[in-house]
Amino acid sequence: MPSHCTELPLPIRVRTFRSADTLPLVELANRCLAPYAGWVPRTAEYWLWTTLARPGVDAADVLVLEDDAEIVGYTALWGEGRVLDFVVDPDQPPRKRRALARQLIDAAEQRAQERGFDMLQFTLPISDQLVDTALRNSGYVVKQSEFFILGLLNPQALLQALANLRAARLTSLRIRSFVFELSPGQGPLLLTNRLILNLDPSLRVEDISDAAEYSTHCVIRIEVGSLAELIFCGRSIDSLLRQSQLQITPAAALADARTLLGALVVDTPWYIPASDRF
Amino acid sequence: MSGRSTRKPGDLQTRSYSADLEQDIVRLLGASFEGGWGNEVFWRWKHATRPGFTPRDVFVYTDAGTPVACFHVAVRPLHLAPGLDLICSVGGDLAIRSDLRGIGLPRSFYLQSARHLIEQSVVLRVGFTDSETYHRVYKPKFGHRVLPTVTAEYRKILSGRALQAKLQDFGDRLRSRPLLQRLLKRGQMTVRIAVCGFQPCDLVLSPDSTHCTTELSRRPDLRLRVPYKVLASVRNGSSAALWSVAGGLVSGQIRIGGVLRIFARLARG
Repeated sequence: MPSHCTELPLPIRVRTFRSADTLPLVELANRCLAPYAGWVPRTAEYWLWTTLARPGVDAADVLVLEDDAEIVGYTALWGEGRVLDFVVDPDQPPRKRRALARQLIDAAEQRAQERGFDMLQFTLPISDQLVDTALRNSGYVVKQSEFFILGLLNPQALLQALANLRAARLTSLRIRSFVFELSPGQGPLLLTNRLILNLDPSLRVEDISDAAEYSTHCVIRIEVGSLAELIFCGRSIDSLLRQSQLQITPAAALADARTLLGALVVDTPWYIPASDRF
Repeated sequence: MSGRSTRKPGDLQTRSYSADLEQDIVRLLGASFEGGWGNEVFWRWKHATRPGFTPRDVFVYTDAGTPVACFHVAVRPLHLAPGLDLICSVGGDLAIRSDLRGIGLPRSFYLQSARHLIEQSVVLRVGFTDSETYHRVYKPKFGHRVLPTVTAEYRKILSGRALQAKLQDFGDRLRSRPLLQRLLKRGQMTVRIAVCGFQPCDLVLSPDSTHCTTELSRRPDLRLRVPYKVLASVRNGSSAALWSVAGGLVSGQIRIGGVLRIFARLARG
């Protein structure tokens, strides 16, 4: 495939995609997205499907930023000027990264004009201040509007995964078993209404919805929607307690329950790239 | 008399995907999405060719063999934190034939798809929506919660055609202001707008219409020269916009001509 090159101050240049770029681009995208929640981990198969196989995308719409044979960024354009991916190596020094971002924005605009697009639209994390500033300085208007929503389908699997991840923070707990009594709230479906989280002999979350008797030192009552707010939406334990959306019994177990619930919180900022939109 | 259908989801038959349904599914989607949805090539790429796709990811209700409603899910891992990737399902592309809306099909799809998703070890259901649909449907009916994302959209106009359309919208909004209405009583007003990097155009405002044209008049009432970056900063609505405008005026990047003529016209009116 012939490759169209735009010469920029050497040794950095922008060129179009070559098939040998797939794996380096996948690695770069995963590294750039790592600080965020809500994106699909890239594999070559997924990247090729979501980018190159997408109707309306041509290999010449994928622009690669190369610094002395090393790929340090890329962008991919889609129909009507939507930018699917815009990735600049997060490990570059800030000054250089800013310059790289500007070069890639200019190259994307040039390609968009070649394609006859009226507009260019990037979907990016506003918290990446360096890229945010580069875009604003290039005359981009910023808008945050779309809602990304979440519902818990399998609370047992979720609690197990989170407890495994944060096991080190649970070792000091005096209470070794917690029962979650879940209510569906407005949800039409609740797989389980009672789960037990045992720290001993190994960390395990079990469904005890049908158990007539169980032994525990702490019961946490919460609606499944409130549990989602606590884990993913930054809702504080205090606010849930104040509004009686969370009850912890007995009162003596409050400190340990707080430690447990605090450990389950996912506070990674959510960013959903355009290439992962459904 | 209510136009709502008396039928129930149980009156319809359920099916999952097979290639012969594609045309009908795309037709349903096209009729349900304002501004259109896409064609069969796009549907096939988005769903049937997606890595990990199974025919059970497409839920279809049929009536006497004809698809009347559809819903799609995509099961994929989502990265949530370092060391934490969970299997999630993204739901969407919901379409219901207009005469069958309001009979509970979304809830049916939700419950029907749940079984399939549980079998696939899905932990979370996620999706995209807007504020109105979230408060009307997803929160009260499905117990979903909105996630505080840092995702933002950055837009820039690249063509003169799109800029003129924006300026025309702006002119329409401006025309509704009392001060401008007073001015326009004495006849139409032409504002020459030169945005750096774009062809200059005239915004012609009259009491009941606005149009933007690149056929320039010989004597516009007002002349404005402004860099695109300043226009964009004003739309961003930040305090930086004030500095941007002030800086543009001081440095001469923003130029306005004909203001006295406008004042004179106002005084006469």
